[in-house]
Amino acid sequence: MMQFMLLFSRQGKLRLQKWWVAKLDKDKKKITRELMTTILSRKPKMCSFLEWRDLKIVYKRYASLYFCCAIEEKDNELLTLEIIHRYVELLDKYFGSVCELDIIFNFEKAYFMLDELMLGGEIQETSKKNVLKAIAAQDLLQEEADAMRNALEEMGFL
Amino acid sequence: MSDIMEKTLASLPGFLTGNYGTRGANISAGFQNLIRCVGEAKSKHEEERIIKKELELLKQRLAHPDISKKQMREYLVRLIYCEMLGQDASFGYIHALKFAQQGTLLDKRVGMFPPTVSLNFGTMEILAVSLFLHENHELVVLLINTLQRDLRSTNIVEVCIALTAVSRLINTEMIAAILPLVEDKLQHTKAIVRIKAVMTLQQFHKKAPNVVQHIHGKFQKALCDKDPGVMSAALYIFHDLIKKDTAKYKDLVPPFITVLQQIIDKKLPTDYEYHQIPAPWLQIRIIKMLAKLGQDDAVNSSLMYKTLENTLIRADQHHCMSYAILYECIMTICQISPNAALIAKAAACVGRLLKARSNNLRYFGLNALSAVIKVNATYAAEHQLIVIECLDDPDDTIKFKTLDLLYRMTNQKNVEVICEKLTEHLKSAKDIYIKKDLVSKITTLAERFSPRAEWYLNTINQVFLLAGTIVPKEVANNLMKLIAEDTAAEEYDRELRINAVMCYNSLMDRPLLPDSLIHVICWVLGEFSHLAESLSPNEIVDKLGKLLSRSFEDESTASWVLTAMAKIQSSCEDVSDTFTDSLRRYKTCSHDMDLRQRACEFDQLLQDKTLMKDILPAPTSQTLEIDSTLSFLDEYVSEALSQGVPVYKPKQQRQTHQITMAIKQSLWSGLNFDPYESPTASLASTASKSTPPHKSPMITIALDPSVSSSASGHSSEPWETEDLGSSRLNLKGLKPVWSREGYHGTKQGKDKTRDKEVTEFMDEKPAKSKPTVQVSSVTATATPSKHTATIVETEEERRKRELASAVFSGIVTSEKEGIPDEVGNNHGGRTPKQTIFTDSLLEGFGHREVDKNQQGKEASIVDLLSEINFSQDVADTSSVDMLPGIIQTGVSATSVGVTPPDLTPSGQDIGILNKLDNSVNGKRNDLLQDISADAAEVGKTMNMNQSSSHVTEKTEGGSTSQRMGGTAYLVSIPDDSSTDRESVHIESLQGEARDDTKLTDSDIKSKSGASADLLLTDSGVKPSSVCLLDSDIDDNALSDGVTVTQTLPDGLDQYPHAKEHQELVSDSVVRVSSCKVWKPDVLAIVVFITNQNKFAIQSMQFNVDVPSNLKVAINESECNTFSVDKLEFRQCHVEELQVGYIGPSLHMVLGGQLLYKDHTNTTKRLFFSTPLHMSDFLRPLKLVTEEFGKKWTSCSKDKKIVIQRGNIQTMEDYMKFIEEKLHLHSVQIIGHEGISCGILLQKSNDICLLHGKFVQSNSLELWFRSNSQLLSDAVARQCSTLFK
Repeated sequence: MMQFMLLFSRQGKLRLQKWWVAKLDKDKKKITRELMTTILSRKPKMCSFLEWRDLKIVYKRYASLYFCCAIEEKDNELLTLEIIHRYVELLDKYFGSVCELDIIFNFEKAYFMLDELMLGGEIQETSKKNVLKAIAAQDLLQEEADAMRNALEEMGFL
Repeated sequence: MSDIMEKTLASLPGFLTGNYGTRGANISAGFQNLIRCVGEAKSKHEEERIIKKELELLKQRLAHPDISKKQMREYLVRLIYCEMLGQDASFGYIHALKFAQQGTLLDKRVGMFPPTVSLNFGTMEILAVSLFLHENHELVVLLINTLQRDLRSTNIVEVCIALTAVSRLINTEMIAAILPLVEDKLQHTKAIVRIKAVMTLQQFHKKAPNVVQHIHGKFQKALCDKDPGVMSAALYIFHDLIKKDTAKYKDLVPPFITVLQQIIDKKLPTDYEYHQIPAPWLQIRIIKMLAKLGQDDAVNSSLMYKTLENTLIRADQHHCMSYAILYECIMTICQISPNAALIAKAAACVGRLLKARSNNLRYFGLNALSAVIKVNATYAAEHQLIVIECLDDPDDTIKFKTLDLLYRMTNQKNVEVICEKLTEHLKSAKDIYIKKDLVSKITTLAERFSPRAEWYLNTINQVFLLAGTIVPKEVANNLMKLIAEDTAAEEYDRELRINAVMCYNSLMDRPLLPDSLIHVICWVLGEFSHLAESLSPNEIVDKLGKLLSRSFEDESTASWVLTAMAKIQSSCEDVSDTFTDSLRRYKTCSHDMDLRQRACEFDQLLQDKTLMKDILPAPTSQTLEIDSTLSFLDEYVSEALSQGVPVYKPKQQRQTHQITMAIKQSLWSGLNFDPYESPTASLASTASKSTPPHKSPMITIALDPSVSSSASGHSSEPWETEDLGSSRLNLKGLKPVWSREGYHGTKQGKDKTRDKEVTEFMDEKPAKSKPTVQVSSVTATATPSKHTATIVETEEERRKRELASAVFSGIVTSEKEGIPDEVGNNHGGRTPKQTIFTDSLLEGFGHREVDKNQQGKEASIVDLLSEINFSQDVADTSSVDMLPGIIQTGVSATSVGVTPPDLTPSGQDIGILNKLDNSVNGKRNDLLQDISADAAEVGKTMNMNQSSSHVTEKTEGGSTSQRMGGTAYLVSIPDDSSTDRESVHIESLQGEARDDTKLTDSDIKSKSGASADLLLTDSGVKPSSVCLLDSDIDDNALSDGVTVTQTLPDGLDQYPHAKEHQELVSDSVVRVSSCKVWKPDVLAIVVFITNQNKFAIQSMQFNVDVPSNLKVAINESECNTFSVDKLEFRQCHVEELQVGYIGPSLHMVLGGQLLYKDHTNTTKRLFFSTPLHMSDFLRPLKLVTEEFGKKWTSCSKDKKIVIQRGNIQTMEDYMKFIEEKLHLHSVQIIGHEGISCGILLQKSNDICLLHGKFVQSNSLELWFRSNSQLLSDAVARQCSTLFK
């Protein structure tokens, strides 16, 4: 089971964090900081895995953004690497050649996407098409709601 | 700021004007502004200031009562952003929640709108809520209502969002409120909802398995869902379930295999393909589960081989995902019951990974290699150069993986090189986790494989100096134990001790010493400093005194130092000032009570030197023998019990008793003020953990074996008071991990020829000059190196090669060993494969132990296994195994044939027996003949006395009489009409038998003494046995023509049962006796109630009190009482009590009472009690040695006892004894060791393993293992009483 996923930039700025295990804010910060420094100090040719405390860290760099996941001892690192890749593929498809800015400005979309891909730290939907369909449905609901709200507001109900 | 940020900022204007298409459209100005400001911030401080300001602003805005949904959403986005940047935004949580809930209010206000377009739960709010909160957050409870409402919604998206939130936010207490709604969603028409529901349930299952127990059926249904996504999600639950209870889900193997085959045949929709690889996630999940299901299960494993091989072949693309599948396949192949061909294929794939350029794949290669060498160590040799290269890799991850691999392939030959490597890394390592890991690795290896005591001493000292504070305590204890232990070589002991004293004396000069090392120093100097004549005692005392001025982490360290000083002082005449000074100091002004008391005591002792010498004597070699099971108390206990003292209950039982009492009380007292127990708490509350009792230094030294035992995770649980004491006092009970001669396995009863070969081979090596060694290593390194060897080697390459040959020494040799074996030893039946297998087994066990960090305590199993003589033909073993079965069938035929109360004249009877003889003879093969030399025992094992006569046919004289005895017994099965004739029969037969006995007395004695004894038992001479012949003697019975049937009911006598009926209680009116029948799934106690006076007795009621760890059923229903209305004269009522097992217990007494009315209509009451033993619940578990080995490592709770073996002389006797008395299956005998194993009825998980070993001078070391400490202790206790 994946315990958490962090997205951070080469400058060490956190762009997205998702925790599937309950942790105190204090610990979250500490872990994030520690992992960022460790990973950023690693050389590009080095392997993408780290054994860290009782967890295994899998990370991968896409352009200026690092994707970093913590998995448990029995999990498969290569598979996790591919989960990251699938996530990037999805973001790419949704935003159309995704860049760091997309994730900064639309990070809630990135979260939704992650929620459709993963649930409770396990991969939930491996089909790219299905994830995108689910996201589209959510977007539609949001738009509908917005439209409804506008209508209501115009009518003076709100 | 960096250039990236600048680029970002440069592109912002275009982004904001919408050049990015639709995605920029809904970004608000406020958020843009915030990001811009943060981006422009020049320093961390400035950034923080901006965020703080933003938060202030948001706080105000959010507190505003009229806030639109759209605004709210934007504020939440900004809030999340601030939080992500590390600021505390907790004030916003409640706002997010409030908004998430407001949906209801809105609905009320806009009630006219259809519910499909309700505005209740926006995606943003739920995101905010689920990011801000976690399952243990106090605000979550406020959300339940909203979540429930959303789950009921008809809008799929809303349901999905709610499910996502539920999976993250609901904690165990709230599951019940949500569960039914989630359950409903399993029937949803949309696959996506079903997937989410299944995944959510999996989360529930993880958090509180017992809450979702009732819907396991629905999980099954989900597994059969037509949508592959749902099926795939359901696999997660099953993965968890299988992990918990593998046996229950074995039937899933065939469907899983089919699914896997379908996947690799690309039968799934292309949607599920990932870069042309079909459903890789699904594949891996199934492969992982197969590993669990196939573990220790040859039958199910064999089903998998084909498909696993196919999967392996299909995963040959050069894609990361392919390698992931490949890796999982390798891991599974190594984990399931091994198949040589498949393992070879897997090993070939390891090469693919290791030779890859990418470090990621090499990392996987190393992992896979670790797994493969568990099964077969020789595969490591092929890759030695790559491994050595990896060791020098600049990447730490690879380096540590390689060290890990080396650690796993350590053996006695390469231990020094590998430990050196590990120590090197310990020097450079900084991370505390890595350091801890390295320390545990070095110490484990040193303990298990150390070639010499000095080496061990130095290695451990080195570890102490490098990482003193993190070395676990038991390492120090083991070190002290090693130095303290006496071996046969006295001179050697002395030398070692002097060495240690000198070494520690000089170590004291170091400015920094970890506390645990000081303990060792103190103890060694205190005990042995008198051996080193070159050192003056007072000099050492002064040095120790200097230590006292240091500050210690552990307060007790000062006590250690003081004690050491006192010990040294006790043997010398003049008292050093340092000592008296420090005594004075601590006597008055120490905060540590222990230290103060010691100071006072020593001060007093100094007044009386002779007393001091008595109390602190120079160490002698004598050790105390202590009865660890406290069996000497048994008499006292039984006496107390007979006086009506309540039976001792272990603490956990007492607790449950108290709880039930408390519940009762609360019921009576009217109101219950206690909160209800949470659904999950019940499990957790019963499991209590022990903390090892605090030990003062002096005691610790004396008891160090126990310290190591408790520290390595086997600590006795607090409620086992006797046992706590015993294990702490038991000096001899625990086998040292290794002794001065090095690792135990080296010297004990190994296959001698092989041992010789090894030593010869090893001798050869060092004899040759260095270059030759190199050449030999090159030839050994099979493939890749062969060509490079001819090229001129650079210095670096040579170094690596040398290292490789050193590191792989053990492994390469073992590979070579197999070859001479094959040639020279073929007639012995040992094939090379078996040799390899021995090695691999050895390896395998090594790792598993190490994995669990159970510091080498179980190392001796490796001895045992290394000594397993594989030369025994497999076929032989199996036929031996089958033998009892064959005889059993023969014998059960006997009983079936004779039991019906037919009139059976003697001729016919003997005829039957003869027939049986023939049939037994017919079935018995050559092997049986060997065994039948000791046939009496075979008979015993089958609990069928009469059969002994058939089998011992060979012993001619004796056999006749036995046969008669047997006949007598059989004939005596009663029948009303034929009693008279029968009795004549019996008499005549008995007479015959007696004559025979007389005639062939000497014969019997010489040939089958045991059988003669049995004969007597058969004839019912023993008073307690309630055999029919008893009633023959009773004239009344016969003259009245009534017999009392006291044979086992039909169907029960086919099971093993007690030879004798045991009388529970009797008076002049009734007699109650019982007979234990050991059915496979239950212990049946057959109770016979016989009316032995002339009048009928009435309204009999029989109650049993069951120990709380057992349960009793009568007539298949759980109850502990039965009644009989009327029992006529001479009639016998037979009732079967089925005693089931719940948990282990040290004492089990089945008590009870019988109430009846005699002819005068007075009620009488009889009390009885009979002890039950653990062996009553143990059943033989047929395992082969390999399985035993696996189980051994997986069981963690052990108990070791050393007992006098009395008249048991050979290992065979011992095994038979164990088989008979403890009902354990004999797995194998190797030299002076034997392993046996049993299972507890009904509980397929509770097994008990036993490793017995003859140790010097007539004692026997028994080592029990199971998954429950109590069980191990209970069986050990029974065993020790049995051997008395």
